Amino acid sequence: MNSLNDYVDVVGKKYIEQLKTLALTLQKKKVVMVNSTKDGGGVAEILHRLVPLLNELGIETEWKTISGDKEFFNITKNIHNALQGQRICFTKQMLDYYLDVNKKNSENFEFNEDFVFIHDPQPLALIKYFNKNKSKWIWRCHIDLSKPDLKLWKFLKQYLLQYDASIFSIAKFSRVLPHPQYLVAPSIDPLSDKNRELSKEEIDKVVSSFQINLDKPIILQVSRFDRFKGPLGVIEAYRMVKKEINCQLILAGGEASDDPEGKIVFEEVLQEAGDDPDIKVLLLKPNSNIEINALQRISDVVIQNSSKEGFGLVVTEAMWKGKPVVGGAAGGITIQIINHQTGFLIYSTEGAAFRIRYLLNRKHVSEKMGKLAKEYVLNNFLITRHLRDYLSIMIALENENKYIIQI
Amino acid sequence: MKEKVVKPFEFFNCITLISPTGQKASNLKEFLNIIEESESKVIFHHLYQSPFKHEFKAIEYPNDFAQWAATSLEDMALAEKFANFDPYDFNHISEAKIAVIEIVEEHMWDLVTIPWVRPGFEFYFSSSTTIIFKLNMHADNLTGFYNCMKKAPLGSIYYHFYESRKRNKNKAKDDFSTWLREELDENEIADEINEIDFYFYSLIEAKERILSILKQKIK
Repeated sequence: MNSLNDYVDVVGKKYIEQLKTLALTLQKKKVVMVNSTKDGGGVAEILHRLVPLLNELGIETEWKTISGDKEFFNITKNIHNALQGQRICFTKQMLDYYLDVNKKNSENFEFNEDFVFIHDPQPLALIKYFNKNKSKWIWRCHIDLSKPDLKLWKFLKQYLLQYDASIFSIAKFSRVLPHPQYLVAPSIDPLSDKNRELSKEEIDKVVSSFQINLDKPIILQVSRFDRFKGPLGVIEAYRMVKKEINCQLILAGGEASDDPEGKIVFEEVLQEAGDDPDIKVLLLKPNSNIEINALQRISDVVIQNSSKEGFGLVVTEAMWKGKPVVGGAAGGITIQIINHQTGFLIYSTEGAAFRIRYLLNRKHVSEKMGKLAKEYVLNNFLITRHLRDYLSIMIALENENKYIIQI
Repeated sequence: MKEKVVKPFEFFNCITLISPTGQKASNLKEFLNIIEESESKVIFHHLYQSPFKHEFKAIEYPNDFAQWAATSLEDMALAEKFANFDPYDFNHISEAKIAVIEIVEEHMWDLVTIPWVRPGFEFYFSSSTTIIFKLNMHADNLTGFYNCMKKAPLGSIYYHFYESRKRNKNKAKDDFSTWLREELDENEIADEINEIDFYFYSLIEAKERILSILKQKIK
């Protein structure tokens, strides 16, 4: 496990000193992070790094997960989709079950910590079962909340109103709420297996294990098999590009334990890919970090064809590897891709095909964009900046109603 | 004669935490209504803290309102009016807010229809919390000041070269030139730094410009 000082080579000594200065004001504070899974998905990945680093800074931080059965995670997947705008009808029975599982989980927790960070909607209702004492409860929303299903939103909002603050990834996701809201972009860990530099041997091993032919340019999308990520549209765009350039497509994704819909979408993708030898659909095992890292590094163009997106950390990862990304103009992708500078924003399958063709043809521009993309991630989307934001939020909550805080 | 004791320049850094209000405007009328009801901290964020948002590009529009009018509302005349308006001309944010309202009202007076944006291009209102802390970097002579400046993060440039003018309630009073003049008697350098029209510089550009002035003088 990397320590804070290992990040000096990436972000500089001064930056790490700043984190220590901020953390000094929060010594003896206790923090708990709560979400629904320790495996799979961007939230778990962030917490795997953030929690040890907060501890290293002297802020005692625990990570707890709620448990639930298949039925609960089916409901919360629907809640997730409905919050992202899908029309879903929730029966009273479904919502009662969601509350029941939250209630059962609440019996396993005490939450006497100074700061309780609840991640995403799955454990949102936990607050209902606690008498609020000195703890500050903060809801950290990682998903696109720009147009939630109204009925569901009203149902969840009654619990959200009990919180002391909320955190959203971009301004577009925030709602009018009576408590402070903060913007915190998610982040990647530059030293993790998913993002660190790889040796030639490590890359070769991945290439041979997936039997990838490096003779043709590679278009890559790494994402869960999820309709909002538009995997079928990627195949369509690839087919448009293929008419002009002899390229190949890799669609790679893992399964998250809280996403029961993934298997169905995976089957649809396999069917659409048919017997095209230049399309590889890879169902990755959990923790295939080096594999994803290598796939991103050997790719010529990375695409993220999302129509809805929380933030799109996979875009950040590819940018960190100096790849220009062609990304759907959704959610957090719009703040990562500065159009024509760090990549291309797309609004249609045709747009995706056009931009991929452009980047495959204009190698020099592609390299220049990739370099700028990496610099942008360095300044804005690394775990060290994320850590700084969490420290700042805790400092802000300790200094309520102050807009300029000198420490 | 007693030698002057130099009070060292203490470099501070600042971090801004952005707090969205959850309000958005999809046309100019909504924009005006929300501005009229907005607290000073919202106006402050959008008018004065824009330099934090320009990373690569040179500043085309120096505040969030001008940027939105140009790129989302596509009302170039309004963008120019917002851009030419200098919030540092006002000592109080409430005065700057009134000036913004007047710009929009006068602009709308001559329009036949209300300009609107496509979905996804709305103006999202935010305020911010600024956390200020010492950087453990100080200088008591010109060379030391130059060396610290090289290492200063952009938050430090913002705090001493932009925010200081609001803090001092004086557009002409940035921390750098004030210290160079008052403590080192380096009036010429202070004048040159003070004359930088900071409103048109990104933080990186402002830092580079200050460094180049200092470097020239140190030679």
